This record gives sequence, C-alpha cells and structure tokens, in this order.
Amino acid sequence: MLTIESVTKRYRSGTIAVDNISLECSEGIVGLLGPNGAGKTTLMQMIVTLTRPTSGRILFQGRDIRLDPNFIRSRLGFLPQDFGVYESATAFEFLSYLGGLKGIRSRQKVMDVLEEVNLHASARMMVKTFSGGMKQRLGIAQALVNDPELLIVDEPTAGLDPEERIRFRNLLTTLGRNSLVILSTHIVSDLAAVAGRIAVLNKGKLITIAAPEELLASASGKTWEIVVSSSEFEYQKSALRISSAVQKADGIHIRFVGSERIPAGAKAVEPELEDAYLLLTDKTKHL
Amino acid sequence: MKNKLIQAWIVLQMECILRFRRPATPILFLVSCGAAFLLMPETSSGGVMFLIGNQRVLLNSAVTSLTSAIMGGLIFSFVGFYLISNSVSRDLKAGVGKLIAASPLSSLRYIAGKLAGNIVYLTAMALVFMIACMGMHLLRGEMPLEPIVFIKTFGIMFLPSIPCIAAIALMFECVPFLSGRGGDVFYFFFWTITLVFPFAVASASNEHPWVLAIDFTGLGFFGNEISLVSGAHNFTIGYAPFNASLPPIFFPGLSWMPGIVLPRLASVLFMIPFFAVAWIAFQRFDPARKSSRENAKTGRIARLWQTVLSAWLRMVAPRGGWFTGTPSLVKAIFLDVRLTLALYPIFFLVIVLSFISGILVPMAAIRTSILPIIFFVLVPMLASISTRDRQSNTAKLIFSAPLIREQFAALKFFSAFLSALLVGLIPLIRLSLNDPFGAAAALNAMFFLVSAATLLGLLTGTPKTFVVLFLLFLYIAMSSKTITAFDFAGLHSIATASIVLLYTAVSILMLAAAFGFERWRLNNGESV
Repeated sequence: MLTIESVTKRYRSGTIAVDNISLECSEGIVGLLGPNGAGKTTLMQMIVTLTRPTSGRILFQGRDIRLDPNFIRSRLGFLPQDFGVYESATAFEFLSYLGGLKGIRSRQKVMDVLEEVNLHASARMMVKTFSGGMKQRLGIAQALVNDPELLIVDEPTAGLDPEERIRFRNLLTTLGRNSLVILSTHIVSDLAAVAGRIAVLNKGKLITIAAPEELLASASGKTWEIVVSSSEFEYQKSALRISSAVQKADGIHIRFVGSERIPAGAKAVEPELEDAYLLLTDKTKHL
Repeated sequence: MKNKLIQAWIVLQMECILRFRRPATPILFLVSCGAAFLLMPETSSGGVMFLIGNQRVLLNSAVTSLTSAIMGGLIFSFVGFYLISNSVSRDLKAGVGKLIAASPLSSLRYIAGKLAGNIVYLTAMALVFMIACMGMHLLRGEMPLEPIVFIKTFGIMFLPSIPCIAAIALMFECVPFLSGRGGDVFYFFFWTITLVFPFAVASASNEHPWVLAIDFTGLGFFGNEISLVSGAHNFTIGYAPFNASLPPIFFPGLSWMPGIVLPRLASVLFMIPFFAVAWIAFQRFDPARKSSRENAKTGRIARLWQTVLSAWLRMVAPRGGWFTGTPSLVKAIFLDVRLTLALYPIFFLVIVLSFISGILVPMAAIRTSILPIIFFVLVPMLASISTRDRQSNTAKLIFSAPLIREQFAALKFFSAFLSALLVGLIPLIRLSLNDPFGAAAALNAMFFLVSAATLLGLLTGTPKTFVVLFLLFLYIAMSSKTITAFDFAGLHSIATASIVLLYTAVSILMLAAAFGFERWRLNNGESV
C-alpha cells in the first residue's frame, strides 16, 4: 500500500532530517517511535505531501505521490501534532469545510464523524469555547471525515482524558483493519496497545521495524530492577540507562536496561516496550 | 470541473464566515458610516469636498457620489489592503494550513478562493459605505437622491479597484519577503506611487492612455473625467474653503464615454500579474520553505550579514551583572528593549544609519529627510512592541514573572519610548543645538507615536491597526505643509507651542487609556 524508497530530506541549512529510509507498509497500524528530532514528523510530512523528499520516492498504491499528489491526498486523513482550528467557526462548520475540501458534501456524514469522536452535542458551538481535549477530538474528526485509506496521526492522544484515549485507541484498531494507520507518539503504552508493527527512528535513520513482541524479545534478559539508597541513586543515574525510578519505603526502585556492568543485587525482570525502545536508542546513540 | 469550483467556493464560504464573524467587522461598518459623514460636510461650514476654481459645485447626486467615491476609494485602496492581508497567514498561524495542504485542494483553487473572499469582504465594506453616502446625500444634498447615479459612480470606482487590492494583498502574503511588517510598510510606498504616478501622467498629457490600465485607485480616471466634463483643469477634490459670494456651479456628472470608461474597467486586469505571482509564490504551507530567513544563508553578502547579526545578537543578549538580583520594572524595560533589538536585527542597521546620517547630513536635511524617515521606520517597530507577546502566545509566560502583569502597560510604553529614542537620538541632539523648539516638537512627536502604539496595541492585540492608522496619518501630515494642526513633529516649521502641547495632551490621554485598559483587564481576570 505505502512504499518508501530510499527517502532523504535535507534542509537548506544542511540538516539531514530523514536519512535514506526505506519502508513498506500494508493495512494495519504502524507505530513510529523515536526521540525528539529523530525525523518522525518530517517523514510524515513527506508522506502527506506537505514537503518533498530531497531524494528517493514514496509510492501509495503504486503511484508516485510526487507525480500525482492528489491521488494520496484524496485518500488521506492527517492529524499533525501542532494543528489548529478556526476559533470563530463552529465544530460543524470547521468539519464541513475540511470535509468539503476532501470531497465530502454530506451533512449527515459530518454529524456521524462528530458523533464518533463524541462531539455531536457540541456541533453548533464555536470552537473557541472548546477545551484542549475537545479541540483534539475535532482534529481527529477532520482526519477521519473522508474515511481515509491512509491515516497519519502525530501525537493524537495528547490532551485527551484517559477515557477518550481508550476510545480513540479502539477507533484506531477498527480503522486499522481495512486501512493503513501510521501513528507517531511518545506514549509507548499507546503503541503497545494498538500497533502491529513499530518503526524505531533515531537521528533520521530507521533503526528497526518489528512487531512489539519482537521488540520485547530483543530486550528479554536485558531489563533489570534494583533497590538503592538516595546517595547510591545519584551515582547510578549516570551509570545506568534507567527507564523508571520510584521512591518507596525501602529505597528507590530503579528499572534499567543493559547487558554490561550490571550492579550486584539487580534482578532480571520482564521487559516492557519502553525498555526495548531505550535499549534500541541507546545502541544507536553514536550514529 | 464542477468539483474544482466547489472547492474554491468552500474556501470562499469559510473566508466569509471568519471575516464577517470578526467583532471588528461591525465596528468597521460603523467606521465606514462615520467616514461618509466626514466626507460630506455641511456647506455652512465654509468648505466643501469639490471645488472648481474656488467656486463650489451644487450638491446633486453626481457630485456627492463622485466626491465620496473618490475620497472613499483612496482611503479604501490603502486601508482595504491591511484589512484583508491576513487570509493566508491566518491559516498558517491558526495551524489549519497543514490540514489544507494535505487535502486535494490545489494551490490555484486555494488562492482563487482566498481572492474571492477578499473581494466579497471589501465589496461588502464598499456597499455599506455607499449606502451611508446615500443617506448623507439625503441629509446634505441640494437635489434629489438618484440611487442609479450612486451605483454607477461607485461601480466605476470600486469594481476595478477591489479585485486589484485583493490580489495585491494576496501577493504580499505569499511572497516571503513581502509578508510581515516590512511588507506592510512597503505597501504604503507602493500605494503612494500608484496613487500619484497615473494621475500625474494622465494630467500631463492624453498621449498615455495605457496609464489608466494601471490606475487601479481610479484617481487618474476621475481627474480626466472631471476635466473633460467641466472643461476645468483647476479643481479640488478634498475639503477646501469656497468663495461664498459666487453661485454654485452645476456639474452634470461623469461623461461615461466608452473611450474612457472601458480602459477604466479594463484596469481590473491589473490584478492578473499580482494574482499570478501570489499563486506561484504560494508555498502550500511547506515547513521546509516557509522561512525566507533560513533560506538566505548562501552567498557572500548573506554570510557577512549573518556574521554582523550574530555579533549584534551576542551584544544585546541578556546576561548577568546588573540584570540579576531583585526584579524591577526598570530592569524589565531594559530587557524588553534588548529583546526588541535581538528580535528585529534590521533595527541595528537603522540605528547605525541614523547615527551616521545624524552626524553627517546638513542641518536642514535632519528636519526634512532624516526625521520623516525615522518616523516611518518607527511605525512597524513600535507596532510590534506592545503586541508581540500576545501575537506569539508568550504573554502567559511573561505574565508569570514578578511585576510584569501589573505593570505591563508601563513596561511596553517605556520599552517602546526607549527604543524610539535609540533610533532618533543623534538627529534629535543635533537638531536641539540649532533649533531647541524643533527638537522638542520632534521628541514630543515620538511620545505621541509611542503612546498611540501602546494604546492601540494593547486594545487590539494586533500591530496592523497602529500601522494602518499611523502610516496614513504620516502621509497626510507630511503632505499637509500648510496646515498647522498636522505639523505634529515640527517638520514643516509651522507648528506652534499650542499645537505641540495639544499633541502632548492627546498623548497623555492615550497613555492613560492604555493604563486604564490594562488595569480593567487585570481586574476582570483577563490575562491574555
């Protein structure tokens, strides 16, 4: 469905945001994971035709998106991280506008999508009266309004309350059955819950693309826990790759990843996706 | 094809929703009505808006529609630009641009929809103005109202000019180096040239009919028409006293000769190159191309400029020492001035040029050239100082610092005044040695500009209001070389002490209003 062939994006300042990435995706949910500046946003912007690759090409259903950008645009739903809304329009007007640009003229369809994101009761309210979470849901609605075959969402759950987050994750799972969803987020638990495959990026390069289970397996036997005192913690926090540190009555419980210089007393624990991610980015930090 | 047109229609619809729902729109309609009132004074005031020789003209529909269409059209071609030059930047700032760019809407249809939106908005403003002028005719006219005459006269004035203004505004938004405050000031000079040039060429000779094709403001066309119909070359449009002992002249109205009307209507084609440039320059919200500054990193001169800028930025960057310790308003003011200098490196150049020219140019040129230039340069700079925090959404961060929220108006006023002084310091000192009153008047003018910028910036939250009003004010003040009241800075050497004091009083009132408004906002819990 989506083929990314040796795509590179170099800015005029010389910065290489995406470095020779190749990727092939079919239906399902693909998660994008990586530290800030890894190139996730630039990669997504190239797929949605917002910016052009410096080299390489992107094919959607076999068509080069550079030569025929409207082919992908009419089948696309896109929710960028820093999107905005027209504050003085109502939710219905805003959604009808963006839907209309994508060829959706049915008022009922617009209302259905608003209902899907739980905004139907506020359809006639001005967006400026909305909370951050409501605006985020409106953003999700505009991405879904044309029943996209390719949905690209960047940090979609930011600002959503836990209930809405779960509701959105379920929605993504439903969508992922028949279309391709590319989901970028720093909330690793969101990816663990829905993504069929996870692509890890660092410094513009694709480090790996694998199923969550494979990533977990790669961290197996390399995830540890140890209880230390406050003074010991000061030393360990620079020596270890810590994924969490929780202060409890018996000391600070440190969870860390690694295979070398494991301190005495550390015991192996079951890895989580966050541990696997830390391990991967740690390995590639000197790229 | 139908679907493509529908897309442009959808863009137009949203433009109308957003523009007509703005709280400023009804206020602007009221201002249009106020302008109609001002443009049709009572004859008993001793002055009228249309004179042939020094004889007044009988106020029939042809005359009232003609004078209000010309005067209104001139103001419209200037103010209209600023009213609509935010349609593309709004999408960028609101964060909707990326959503639009990822839709199948083509750049051409997007730009066409925006153009249509601009045209509809300006047309609505023109219609309100025309209706208000008809109302004023009922009040002040000396013959019955003829609506058709009004429609025809306003039509010939506004039909070609509105699409041109709409396309020019769009082009300014899409071309990177014309967008922003620099473009706002540049349009002022562009407008002045398009105003004066066709009129001067058309008045000088009839051998250049082509000039009417670029006469989008319509001044040249009307000049030609009035000369043709009245046979007079000595006429005045704009408020002037008349000789009351002479009877009023009857002016039958425009000739509507096809040879003159058709070129006027054809001047609508003047919009095409602007529209084309807007379309070509529109970058479809591509984050990699949006910053012209980022792009200007190649070339020897550009690199040299970057080096100078870096040194300048290091010089003005806030650092320790005096700025550390207990926060105070004075420290905050100096930090704000430093921020101004860091944010707008062009002012480094302006200050250097002002220093050099203030020392080197002959004394006479300080008053006639240097100070007027400084006042024009100060307009965009001052406009940004009181609005930048709200425009860039940093107000909430700044207000969380000690003392700032309560003294925001004072901070912005003193910061702007100090910045203005930095720019004008040497020329003012030089002037004070020869002409202390002139220097005091110029300093007072700075106080006036800074107070107005602070008030309008805090009230509206946008720099445009101050830029529009004060570029227009400066234009009128610089061109009115015999009217004492407009010599606000003593530049024409006709300002009296009472005029200077009047401007001081107005400045103090504006400043009090700015302080009062911020106090009210604070008391009502409105932080941003």
